Amino acid sequence: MVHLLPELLSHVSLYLDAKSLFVCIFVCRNWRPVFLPSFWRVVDGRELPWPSILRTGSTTELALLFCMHRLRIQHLVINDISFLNAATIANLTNLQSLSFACSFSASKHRWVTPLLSLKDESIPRDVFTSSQHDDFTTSMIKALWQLVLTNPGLGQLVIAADSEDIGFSTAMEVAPFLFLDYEVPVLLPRSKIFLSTCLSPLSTLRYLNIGMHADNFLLCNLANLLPSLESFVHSSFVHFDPEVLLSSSPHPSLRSLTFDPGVINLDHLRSILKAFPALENISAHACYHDTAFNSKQWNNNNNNSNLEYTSLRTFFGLSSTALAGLWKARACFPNVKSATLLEHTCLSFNLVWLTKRIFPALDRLEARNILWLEDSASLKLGPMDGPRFSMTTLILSGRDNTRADFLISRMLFLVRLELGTIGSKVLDVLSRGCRPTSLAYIRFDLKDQCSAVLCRFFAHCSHLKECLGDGHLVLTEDIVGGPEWTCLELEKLDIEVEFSQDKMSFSGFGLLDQIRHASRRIRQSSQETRVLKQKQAWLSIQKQVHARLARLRNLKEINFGPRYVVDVPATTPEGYLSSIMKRQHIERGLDFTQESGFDLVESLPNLKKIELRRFCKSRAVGSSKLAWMSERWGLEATWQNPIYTVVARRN
Amino acid sequence: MTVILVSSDNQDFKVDKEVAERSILIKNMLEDVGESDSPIPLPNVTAAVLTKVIEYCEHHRNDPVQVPEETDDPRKRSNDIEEWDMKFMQVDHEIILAANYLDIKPLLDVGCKTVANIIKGKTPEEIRKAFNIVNDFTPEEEAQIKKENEWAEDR
Repeated sequence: MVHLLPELLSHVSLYLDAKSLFVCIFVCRNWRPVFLPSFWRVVDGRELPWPSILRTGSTTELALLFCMHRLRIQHLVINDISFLNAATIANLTNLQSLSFACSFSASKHRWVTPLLSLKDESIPRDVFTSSQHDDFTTSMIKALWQLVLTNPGLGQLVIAADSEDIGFSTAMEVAPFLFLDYEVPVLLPRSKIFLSTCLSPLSTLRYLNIGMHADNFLLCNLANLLPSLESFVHSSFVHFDPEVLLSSSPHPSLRSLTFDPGVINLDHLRSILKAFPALENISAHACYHDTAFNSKQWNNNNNNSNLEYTSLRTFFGLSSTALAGLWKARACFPNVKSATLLEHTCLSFNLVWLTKRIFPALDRLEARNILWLEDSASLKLGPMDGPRFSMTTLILSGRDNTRADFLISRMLFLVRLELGTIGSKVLDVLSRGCRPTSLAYIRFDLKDQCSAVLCRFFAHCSHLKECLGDGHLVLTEDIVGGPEWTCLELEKLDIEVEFSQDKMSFSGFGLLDQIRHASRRIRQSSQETRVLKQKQAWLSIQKQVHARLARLRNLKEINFGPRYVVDVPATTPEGYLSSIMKRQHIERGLDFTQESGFDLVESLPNLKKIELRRFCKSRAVGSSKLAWMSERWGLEATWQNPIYTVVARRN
Repeated sequence: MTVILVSSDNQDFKVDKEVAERSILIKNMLEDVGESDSPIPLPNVTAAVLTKVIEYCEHHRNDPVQVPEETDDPRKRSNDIEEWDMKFMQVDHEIILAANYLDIKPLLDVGCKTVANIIKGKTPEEIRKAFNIVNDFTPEEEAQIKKENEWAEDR
């Protein structure tokens, strides 16, 4: 090993966690000056070694360390009041990001700074007196704002939802919310000055995430308060007056806006789109309420032309009612590539509208909790031979999508498809002529047992790269006797292989004819020969299955599911059976031996992981069968009641 | 179009221009020199290392040029090394120095990630062993370090 130059070491340090960085400080003289600053650059209270330090070290000690390294600390995550205490004492000034997520009252004893040291000039005492905080909490809020104020270079500020309300809206005067029977606090004049004082020095702030109420004032003055902001996340109920926002000056750089959880109506949406002309991503649950919406007002030129919003790229959280409103207002988002629809009732939007008029460039559609109804399909989706949808990604999450076949049969260009729970009907669509031919990534849970259809799917989808999900039951007879699989590019596969023990009657297959012949003879012979013959039959089926699977040369991960075991039929009495098995060296459970042809699968060049998910513990792999396997594969079994999983990874 | 690179031990390497330009140093040199087929001397890189570097550049010749990504996360991930790269890096750490000198950012990144992965989870003594580093702290310093270490140990 050559000696790495300091500049290379500091490049390496970017990839190390706090614990490793700390260790590196003590390696040698050359490393020390590189890793000491690297360690102190990011102080994240959630990362080791900090939790153990907090548990045992004293708050004073921590404060002393902060003072020693005050200029080095650039990123601080406060999850314990001791960090706020230390940061206040050290008077940190070089912070680039600050994240705050802790409760004040729970950890009073960890505060040792005299409260007097908090400067009063910038943060007037009476800003918070109207709220119901005790003196200590008020002081802590001041300490936090003081930390923000001494770090005007902050690029990122996160104040998490479980923190106390630190003053984004403080006063107790309330204003009625627009349409909900809900009242919210508004800022008093003094608080407005306070918020301006605290936020306007942050001229480089790009990311703001607050987990508490903000109101009209913050949102409507964002252009003045934080003109450099690019991303704003508001993780609390949203409430602002769209009229006020409409009249505010447009924000030049905000690209991403998230209200979570937030319900906005179309008037809100309209004011947001106008106030943030650079907005690319919006995430908010948009609803449409007749009483508060006037489509003419939205499109006031009223000349039947579309109203285009060209900056928007992704839209998360539209309800069907909002879509109807947007359609009425002739709003159009020509560059939106990805849209997520939220719904709690039946599907009531027309997908043809959506793609033709509102989102003409839509490439990714995600729909949550939408029920696809057969009877209204042609109404909502157009006739079967009518329009086709050109999106490449469709994600249907939430409810049961067993009837989504009508939708999928109209989407011929899908590359990625995630479906939640489906039945044989949908799978049938995917394995017939009229199907997306370039489908590469698919995830679904199967409700029905439709092994033959699934095998036909693998035989038809030749571009498949991933097929994931639960319940993909495949009978060995369908693998061996069904159509040849063409999905040779497959990299990740979840199937649940099951031995069809009683169904030895496969047609058109020489070897299986022999087995059938053998099994006919078995009936006449003694129990022991019968078991032995049975074993031979399993082995030959396994060999066939493994040979078929081994054709998937690109396979990286495979999950055989819970049933991939060989067991003797229950017709033989158990006690008698076990003595036979012992005598004939037959082991129950999974067979990883070369005899079963498993080496064909095992030697696939890219295969990294073999999994048996939700495997039944009592059928665990026999020890002698494992020996061969564990030479080259690391085997681990996890037991998360009631799910037992065996995973083998290549060493 | 090909370029001739000369290693520190005077071996010539004929390489496609497109491949050679994965190195920003060479790319800039070629731009400065303009249309000329004079060989480019690389006095800091031995033939053995240069062979490996060219192998890397050949493998990644069709990769898009890396755009410096701006993440807000102050820590970068090191567990996303491509498989081919992982096997490649197991051979030689001198490549990292060459990547730094030749200014091949993706190779440098992979190299540094590999080193980071070696460091992770080790004690100072194990790191010294892995990198063949002599503990050059004096006994006094060592004692001081031990004391410093105390406050952060898993107690």
